[in-house]
Amino acid sequence: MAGNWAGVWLRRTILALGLTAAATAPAVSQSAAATGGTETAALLSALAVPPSTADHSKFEELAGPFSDAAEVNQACLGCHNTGPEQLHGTVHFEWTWPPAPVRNMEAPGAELLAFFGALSTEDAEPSGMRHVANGFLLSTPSNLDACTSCHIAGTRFDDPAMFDASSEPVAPVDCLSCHEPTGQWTRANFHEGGAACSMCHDERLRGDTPEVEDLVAAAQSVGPSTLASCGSCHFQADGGPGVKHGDLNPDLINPPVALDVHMAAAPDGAGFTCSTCHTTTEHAISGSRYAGGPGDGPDRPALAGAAASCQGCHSATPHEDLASGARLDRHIDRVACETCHIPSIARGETQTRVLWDWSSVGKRGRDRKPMVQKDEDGRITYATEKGNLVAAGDVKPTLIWSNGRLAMHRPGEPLAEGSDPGESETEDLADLAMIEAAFAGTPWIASFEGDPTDEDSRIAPVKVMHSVVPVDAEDRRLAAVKFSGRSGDALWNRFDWEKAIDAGMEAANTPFSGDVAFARVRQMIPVNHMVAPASEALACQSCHVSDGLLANLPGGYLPGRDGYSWLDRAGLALLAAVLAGVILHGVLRLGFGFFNGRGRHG
Amino acid sequence: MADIPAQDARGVYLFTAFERFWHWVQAVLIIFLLTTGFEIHGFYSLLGFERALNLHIFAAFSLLVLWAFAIFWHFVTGQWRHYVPSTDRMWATMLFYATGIFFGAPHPFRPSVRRKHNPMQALVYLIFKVAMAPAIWISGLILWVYGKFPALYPDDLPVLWVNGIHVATAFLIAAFLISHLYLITTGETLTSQLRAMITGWDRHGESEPD
Repeated sequence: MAGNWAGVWLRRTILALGLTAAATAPAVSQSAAATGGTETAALLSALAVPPSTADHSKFEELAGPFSDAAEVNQACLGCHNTGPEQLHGTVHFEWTWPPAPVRNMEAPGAELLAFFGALSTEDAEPSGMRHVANGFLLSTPSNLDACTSCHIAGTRFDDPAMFDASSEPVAPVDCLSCHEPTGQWTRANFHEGGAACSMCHDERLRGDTPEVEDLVAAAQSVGPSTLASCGSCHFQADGGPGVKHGDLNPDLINPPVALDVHMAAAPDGAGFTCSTCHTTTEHAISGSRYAGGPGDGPDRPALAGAAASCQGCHSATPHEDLASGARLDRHIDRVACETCHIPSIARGETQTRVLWDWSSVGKRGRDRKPMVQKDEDGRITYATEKGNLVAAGDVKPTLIWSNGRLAMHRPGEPLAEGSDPGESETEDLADLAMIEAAFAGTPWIASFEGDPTDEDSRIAPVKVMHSVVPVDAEDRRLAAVKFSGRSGDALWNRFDWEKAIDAGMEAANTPFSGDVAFARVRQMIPVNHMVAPASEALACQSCHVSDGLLANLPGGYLPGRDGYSWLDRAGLALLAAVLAGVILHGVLRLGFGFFNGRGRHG
Repeated sequence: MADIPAQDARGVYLFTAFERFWHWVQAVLIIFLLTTGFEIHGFYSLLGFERALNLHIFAAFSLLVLWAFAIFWHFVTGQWRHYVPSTDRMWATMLFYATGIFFGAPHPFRPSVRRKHNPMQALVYLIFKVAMAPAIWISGLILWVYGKFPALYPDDLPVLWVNGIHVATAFLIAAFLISHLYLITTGETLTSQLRAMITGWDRHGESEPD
């Protein structure tokens, strides 16, 4: 699927074309809002695209000519002179949670976060994508050079010290990465910068890579971030379109209202961009899967500052229907909004990966070259560099109790206990149901904490990823793997696991015994996007039945599912006995009726 | 009353208009509440959970209003006396349903204006009125408060227990309904008791007890 998608984009890589279209887009959307009917639509549209008094296309500073991206950034910083300072220390720059100002207790609210346990000060080890292991591209520290293709530096770097702005060297910041509104800049820039192809592409593609054609057009087109600009990285997380997040993929660049009511253009949808909800203060963007649970801050007004919660706009009593509104509102202390309002993810064209088996990499084609295998629909089911892969569309999220706190693993940390069927084949696992059965009981490398007795927990949806990942055979510690690069120890060069893990573990600064084993693991990924129209939300009987979506999630009181089974059996037995009794009595009456008259009092 | 001719072709006027109205509306509501209730409980899907629940609550409050009027009626008219338990002819009545009914034996009890129900009947109706009905409406009201006004719900009360009482009582009422529907066919003719409850007149009633 990555191949198909990339192919489409390859055919229209002339950046200037995209940029011309984008330059006219704000004007179009503003006039649509002004004439587009309802007042609400206009209001929402105004929210989504903040009006600006600055027309960047008319600034002399941006007239060029520019010889490279660094010169464009210099031009930006001539006016926006605190930009880099604001970005240093943010999650976008450091890839670390908590971000520096919170870690150092400098940020407003940091003490509050710590007090509520959202910020664990006892745990010295930071989290965030630079540090934690996952079931997709496994680990960042051992692949910095490839992973940083997507960093807001706009250029790759392999020195981890560059994430830390307090001492030289420091990674640069690239304004266009987020502020070029079509996202084409970021795409072209990281292709031109020499990104490792296999990080995103499962199939080796023919043809030219996207190139930056016109730096002046890019510079003059800048504006607020858009779905496309944020999506150029976030819709491609962990190896291509929609691979990691079923609820974030390129279908959201211009989605129909059925796919996402917030991101669909007005007047059908709300016309939001990412930053409408992920509000920003001095370039620090709110909303993180490492902080904030479904039960947090229900009454926080969204427009007052950093807040990416449903209740921030919709209040804690959003259901209006007279008959059932109060009853639906009552669910809010037990059920996250997303549970009902995101009934399915990857509902558009783009599927999401649900199985990745690293143990099966390295099989080559007859010509001894890396190859791919596809199913009848053209989906890649095997790639020499990636192993067995399964993608699925229209995936029903798994419902769990979550308090928002993520229990995660870093490379080098041992797996939790769990049933492990060992190194059995995954080739035959063709659909999600089979995969789920095969991975039942396997350990989590990332899972949300929470249980029904915890007041802060809600029933919340997650995507469950199933992976077969390398571990240190000796103590089942998660392995960091070096995938790409010029040296022979990179996995994708020689497919030598021992060498690739040896190099990976060294980069992750953790020991390795030299013996490799593979383990089946699972990972929870939060689901918060692709909010469906209200008419598509789950109905009561999705859960309020004995075999509904919550049949396997104990806890709470759920009419239609919960009761005493012995009481039901006793009750039904009573009814059966009474019914049998009256039928027997009636039959006897009929039988004796033949021999006796009717009138009794005569 | 004494002037009513014993030979009136219509028999004895046992059930007044209000009593019949109360009986039939109550019958419809109870059957509807059982149908929707067992759907809410998860036994089957008929109306859909949401509509079943909304209509169940609406019907339940309608029944509560009806019962309020009925209780008032019972005390004002003194009709509550019909439900005072009595052992008079109890054994004979039980014996009749166990054996006599098959052989065409006469019923040991004849309804009259002073005592409308046979002793078994009166006892079961009394149990319905003082045990089953209160159990179902009190537990139901608590469940309704749990959903509608969570702040008022006492945290120490396990809602599953309340639900258990509600469901258990519903089973008893359903069992009552089945036997009740059968027993109305055991009058002098198959339909004579049904006719009495529709018209108010019992053809086989005792006009004036001794």
